[in-house]
Amino acid sequence: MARREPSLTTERFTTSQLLEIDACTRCGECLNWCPVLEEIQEETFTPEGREGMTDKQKLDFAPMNKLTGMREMLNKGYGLRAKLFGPRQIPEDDVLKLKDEIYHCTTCGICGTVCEASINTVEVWESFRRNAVINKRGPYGKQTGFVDLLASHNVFAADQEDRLCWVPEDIEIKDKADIAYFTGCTAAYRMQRVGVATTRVLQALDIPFTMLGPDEWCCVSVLIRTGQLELAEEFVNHNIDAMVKKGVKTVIYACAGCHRTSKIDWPKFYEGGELPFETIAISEYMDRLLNDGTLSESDFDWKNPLKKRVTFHDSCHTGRHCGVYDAPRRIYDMVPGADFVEMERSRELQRCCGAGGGIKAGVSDLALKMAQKRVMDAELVNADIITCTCPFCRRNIMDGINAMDTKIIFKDQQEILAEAMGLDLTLPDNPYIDKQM
Amino acid sequence: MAEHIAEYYSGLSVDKTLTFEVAIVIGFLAVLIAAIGILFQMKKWGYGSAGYGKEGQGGSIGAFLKLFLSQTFDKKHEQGVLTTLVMDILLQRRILKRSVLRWVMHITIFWGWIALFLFSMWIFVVELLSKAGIYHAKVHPLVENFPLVVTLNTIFGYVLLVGVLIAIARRLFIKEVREGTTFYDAFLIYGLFVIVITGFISEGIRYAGTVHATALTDLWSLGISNTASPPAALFHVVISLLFCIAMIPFTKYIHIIATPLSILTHGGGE
Repeated sequence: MARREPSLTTERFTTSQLLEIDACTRCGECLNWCPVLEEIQEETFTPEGREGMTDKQKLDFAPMNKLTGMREMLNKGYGLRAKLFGPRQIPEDDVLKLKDEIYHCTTCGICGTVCEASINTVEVWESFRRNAVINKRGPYGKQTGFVDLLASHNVFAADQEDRLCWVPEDIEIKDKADIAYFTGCTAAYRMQRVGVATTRVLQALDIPFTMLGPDEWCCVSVLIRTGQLELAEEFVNHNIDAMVKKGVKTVIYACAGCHRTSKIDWPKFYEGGELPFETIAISEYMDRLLNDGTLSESDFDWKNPLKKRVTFHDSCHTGRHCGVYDAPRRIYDMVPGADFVEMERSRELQRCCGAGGGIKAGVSDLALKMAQKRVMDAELVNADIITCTCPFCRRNIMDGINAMDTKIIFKDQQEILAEAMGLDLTLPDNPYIDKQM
Repeated sequence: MAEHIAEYYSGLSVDKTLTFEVAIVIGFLAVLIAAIGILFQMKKWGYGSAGYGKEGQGGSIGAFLKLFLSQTFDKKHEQGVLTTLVMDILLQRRILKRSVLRWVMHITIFWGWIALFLFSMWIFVVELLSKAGIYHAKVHPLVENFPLVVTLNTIFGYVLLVGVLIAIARRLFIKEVREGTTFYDAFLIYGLFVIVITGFISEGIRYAGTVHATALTDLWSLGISNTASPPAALFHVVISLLFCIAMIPFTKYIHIIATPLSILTHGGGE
């Protein structure tokens, strides 16, 4: 008789991750920080099919219990007893239950940040998700549509030829340059104001840059976060090759999701290993130019003092994932009239807005509740503006603002800069004007 | 019958009893079970891939060890291995950063456990030497010749007890911790509690009625006569070997191996 396969295999897990799963001490620190667990415990959100959960059952969504679930299942397949008598079978419903719990996560990474055992939880969740997709258990809900959408090379199934339709005529995009601005799907099709602001600021600061245009394909963040990697290698290598052809040395991002994916995930799929260019957030780039004297604060030519109380939401991807905290703050500090204030939870302990990890598409009502919680954080410090460096956070936080009775508005960092510099943010007429968020 | 205290170190060696031999056999069995279990754990870890998107390594223990060493000594880590070892493993600053109470709890259990383990090994070796006729003292060999060990053994016993009591109190009185507690957690902490308590009791019984007895050891003896010392010591040693050694790979004790290894592979840091 053929030996049975383990119900949960080690496929896609690295050796380090299997070690990490056993390393969890179940200290419970992650319970204090997980933003998804918080919504479930406060009953502002109930996962589908889990109505009437007891307090103990709600803890199934705690990061430490997800790790425990994985450990128990893996031990049944690979432990001493499994070696002697064969893997113990786990009811498929139990595996699917754990799968649902692990997909109820924005991969914000705060559990890993506070973890006593230094577990890289985000990578563990993503490996589990990949394992789930391979075994036809994942992804979750509407996340299944990502692969089909990306047949068009962007997440909105928009015409790729329109990738630069938002760029004002007077913006000069070099054919080749050391610097490339990677726009990202959201800024190209749904948040074009961010794209306009970014290009306007770069041009005003005399920073020559190129863009990939129709050759800029989705960064594949949505695929990697949800475990659907079939297209990842093709997309990643396409984007990298396109950058190389333009002679790019530094790629700058005004999208935290694209930045994180390029910096951390692209090298995993790139045939050549280490990327042939550096990938940095636009705030890091500006900070560098200010530090090395290429730029001075007077180059910003301020025209409109902001006169508003501003608070900054560190996106998970730029902050916890890439470790960029000071550079964006330095940019805000320069803006005249900006009364900058920190929310109680900021920097590495910031509260996730709820957009990431496929949650916006897969569990949209959870994403909305989390966004509202973040807006409430901003209200507590009497902010007029909540700002960020991520169009995807922007989209979710704006949804949160729209669902609340609040006077707070959202502005991207580049919008704030452009407005303070008196730059024109009018969108050129294009097929996506009516779809702007 | 002579006072047992004059004839043994650990409390196990008494004329015409089998307690020491029993402890030796169980000790070796415990180490054997633990070693086999740890090898199977390493084999399980070795089923993972060496890196993202790569093929699994087929459960190779050698591949696991090779990868562990290469990741631990990865030059990309921001701090050296020694710093990680001292700051993140021996001093556990990541816990301190998050919770002083949990740090006190864990650091006392950690150092209490390690110290008692080392002192137990020391006493075991002295006793073996005595058995072999290589070393012998006429009166109370442990008290007379290793007073520092006795004192430190007691101190670290209390250090461990403090940590265990904090851990139990957390699991009983903090609602979220209580609701999140599973058998996996309880086995470790209540097992440790039983070990440390039986350790004090067996020591109390050993000194009962002797010139070395104190008010505190008399309290711990629960009024039991010194003649019951060998079985009391045997009970403590056996459950210690089973709980603290043999069960390491199969229970939450695995974290005493997996967590430091995980921290080392990530290069530590706050």
